[in-house]
Amino acid sequence: MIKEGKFGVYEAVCLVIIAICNKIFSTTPGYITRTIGTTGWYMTLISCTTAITFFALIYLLLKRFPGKNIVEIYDASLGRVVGFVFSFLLMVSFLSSVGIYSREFTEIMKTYALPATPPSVIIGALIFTASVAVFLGLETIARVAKLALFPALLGYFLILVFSSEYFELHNLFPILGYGLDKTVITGILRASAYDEVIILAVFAGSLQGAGHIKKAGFTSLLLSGFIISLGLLCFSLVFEYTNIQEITIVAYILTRSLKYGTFFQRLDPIFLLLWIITTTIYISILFYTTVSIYCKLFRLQDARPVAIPMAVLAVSVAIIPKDFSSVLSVYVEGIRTYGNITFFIMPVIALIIAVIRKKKGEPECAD
Amino acid sequence: MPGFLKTITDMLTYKELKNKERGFELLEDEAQSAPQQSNAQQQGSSGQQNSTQSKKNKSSRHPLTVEEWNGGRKAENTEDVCQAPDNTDIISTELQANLEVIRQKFLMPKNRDIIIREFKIGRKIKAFMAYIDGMTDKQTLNLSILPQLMSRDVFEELGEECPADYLMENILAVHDVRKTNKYSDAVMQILNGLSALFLEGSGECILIEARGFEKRNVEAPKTEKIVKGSQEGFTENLRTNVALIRRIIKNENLVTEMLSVGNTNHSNCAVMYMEGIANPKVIQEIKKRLERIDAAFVLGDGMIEQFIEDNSFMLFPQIASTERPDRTASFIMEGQVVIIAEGTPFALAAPVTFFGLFHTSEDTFVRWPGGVFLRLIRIFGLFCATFLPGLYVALTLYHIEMIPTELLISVAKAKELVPFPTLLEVLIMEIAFELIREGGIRVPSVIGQTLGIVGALILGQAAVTAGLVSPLLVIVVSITGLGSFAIPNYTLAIAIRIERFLFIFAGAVLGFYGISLMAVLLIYFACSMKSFGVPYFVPVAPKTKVNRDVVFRYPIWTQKERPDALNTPNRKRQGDNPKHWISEDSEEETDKGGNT
Repeated sequence: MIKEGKFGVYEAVCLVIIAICNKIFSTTPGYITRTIGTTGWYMTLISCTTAITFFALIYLLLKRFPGKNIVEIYDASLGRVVGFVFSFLLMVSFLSSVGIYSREFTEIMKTYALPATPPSVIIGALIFTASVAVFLGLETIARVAKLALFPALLGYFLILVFSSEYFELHNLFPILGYGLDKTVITGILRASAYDEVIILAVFAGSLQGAGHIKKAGFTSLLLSGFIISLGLLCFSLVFEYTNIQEITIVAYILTRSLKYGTFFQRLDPIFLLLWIITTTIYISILFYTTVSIYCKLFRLQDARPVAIPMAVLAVSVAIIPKDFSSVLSVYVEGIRTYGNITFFIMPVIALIIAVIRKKKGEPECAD
Repeated sequence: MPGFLKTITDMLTYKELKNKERGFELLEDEAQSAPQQSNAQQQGSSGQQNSTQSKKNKSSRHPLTVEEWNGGRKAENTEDVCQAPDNTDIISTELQANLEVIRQKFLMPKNRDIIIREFKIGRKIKAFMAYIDGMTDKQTLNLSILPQLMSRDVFEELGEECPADYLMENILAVHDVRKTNKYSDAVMQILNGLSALFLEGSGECILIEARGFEKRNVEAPKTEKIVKGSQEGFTENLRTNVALIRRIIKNENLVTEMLSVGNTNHSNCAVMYMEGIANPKVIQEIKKRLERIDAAFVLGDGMIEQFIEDNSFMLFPQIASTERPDRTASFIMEGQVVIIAEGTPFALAAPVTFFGLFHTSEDTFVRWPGGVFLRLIRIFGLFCATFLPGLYVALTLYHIEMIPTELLISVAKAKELVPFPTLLEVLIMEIAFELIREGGIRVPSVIGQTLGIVGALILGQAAVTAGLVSPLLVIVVSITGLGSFAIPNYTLAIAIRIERFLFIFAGAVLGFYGISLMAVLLIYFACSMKSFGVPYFVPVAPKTKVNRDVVFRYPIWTQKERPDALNTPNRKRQGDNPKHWISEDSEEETDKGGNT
């Protein structure tokens, strides 16, 4: 099994928060508003609660097999063949996420910042950085996530604070959006927005015990819920919901519209830097997770030789979609819809079968 | 060509991982959980034991008693006997044989700076003294050693004892003498500047400390000037440098171990640390790395640093270098291990973190708000020195719409007459600036500064007037240059100068996107680094317990603990109430209040 090093609860929380909250900078807010109107800010709290419930079940599974990661647990609980299929599906899900989110990011970059640059260059540079991260290891990614999170959050909250000048309370109405039932159902289904918390189960061996996983998981989910909800609330307060539906990247347009004095006419450079840095780290996390699951699946000792072939695969996945609209309507939506199955439902199935088959891990020795 | 093909093949093929360790890791262990001495206990009575000069690894925290010390020496001697040493290295009892060996070893008579002075001690025993011309103090030899040895009544009270012992105990009025029975030791000490006295009939030679070579006086440091604080800097002389530190840390637990590095030049270097404060594992690791340097020529801290650092292919320094004894002393008191090499006026300190490279002595000497302000200025300088030209290139080439309108008009006007593309324009100015900087160092100091300032002003002005560069760019490059001067660590400043060019190219190729990716890549590499087992971005990433002197410097009396990441056996830097007078006064006041 590959040696991934150790990291603490703090780093784990930062890792998960960056992985989850990066979506606020993407096309997600616009899509949510199109689906449920003005209720996005509390719909995400429903999603967060659902994700917490699922994570609680995942935690029970991890607790049942102390010191083991999700791939080993699938093997132990479901048997080698079914376990392999489950782990493979998980890896494919992560690989698809890497490809699709890279493409989504590339299209947005082309729209707003680099219109003349070929998409392959943008995707290639992004995946190259992620590959370097794989070579340097999980500890390094966790440290970078820790280092980057605070400046990123500072910038994010500054943008939200600056935007307060444009807040219009009436933009929040109708408060129930397109209906409470629709909001609740969408909220539950979109729990997949928080599915990156599963990386804690993939790297369970790097965290010191189930207690740390529990602490890291619940803390990161709660904080992510707060951060995303606050962002969506601010967007809803600034723009009318009919306008948000038409905007691809709400956060970018918000920063571009901010104006303080004659010099600070636009704050989008700050946003761009923040967004690119967090996205790069986000893609690195997802890409490392893909490589890590693959290595665990085939019991490889070294992740480095897998990095470059996997990078080629990720780039290939990224260039599959025909255009930006198909990226959004088919692929991103596909991941959002079916992500729940691989990231949340499958671990729950493994838990149920482990209970039925009375499978349990060895208790960890106290060092 | 074959090398290139091999590189390509290595890139495309997979090699099994060698089953090697992950490198030195400084983990929390028993040394850390040792009972923590209070500050008062730490400053024990002085004068019991001087600095240890042993190559053996001794990590005992208690000073040895005289009996233990003698016992140890006896054991060492017994060990020597048991091991049946190489007879060719043992000093002969025949003076003529010793003379021949010494002549052979020093390639005499080709070698003209070795002096062998033959004479008779007390007009009875034949002897010779060997030393290197220019490394000994001639006055000491001529006035304190030779006249006494050649005096007629030297052996008046000689009994049955060995003449060498008799001379050491009764005749040689020199502060430090010792004897050895090995040629190798004698030769090494002669090379170090000691005088070796060989006697007829004695299988030992006496090594007399009569060193006295030309050296520079202690002067103000040239690369780390400060306004407030000590104005002393290191010199090229190792003994002077060690003494400068000992003058600051007057504690018997300050250990100075002497090691020889370089297989051929045998340069001395001192490893200094506080016993009981520095982590024994770090001390051991540093000594291990120094002892295992297998190179013919090692000179000074710069070469040692390159031989012992964790990762040679990283831009950032992994060992701190300083010219200031006060800063070195503070490193030692923090629990770091200091290496002082012969021949350069610098000391190295390890382990080091990224944030530690922004600290200077002045931070501590000024009051805390000033210290914090200075550090923030330096960090801003780092930001300017790294990103400013790259951001300028990215903004003007890719993101013009992000520039405020008024500024955009100025930029457009300024660039109107410039015939070069932005990238070339920036490169011309940056390279010109680097040339001025490098040229300014090489030219004689009297005109060096003038050349720097005049060169920068005239070149900038002339370049603008000639329409080669825009005035705005001159401002950008000047701020960048000033920013790089604000970085207190020279090695880090060089790294930033190199990185700046990377950011310029990244900005030219992919705008903000390129700059962000380059920044993330560099942070990845920096975060993967360790300095003697300590992660580079500690205490931020990974998070450890924060002492109150990282980026923000809190009031000095609140900095009660040493950095957590160093895993020092004694964490406490100050007592629980460092401003003890406050409680005393308040108690007195309470008493007075009570009395009245």
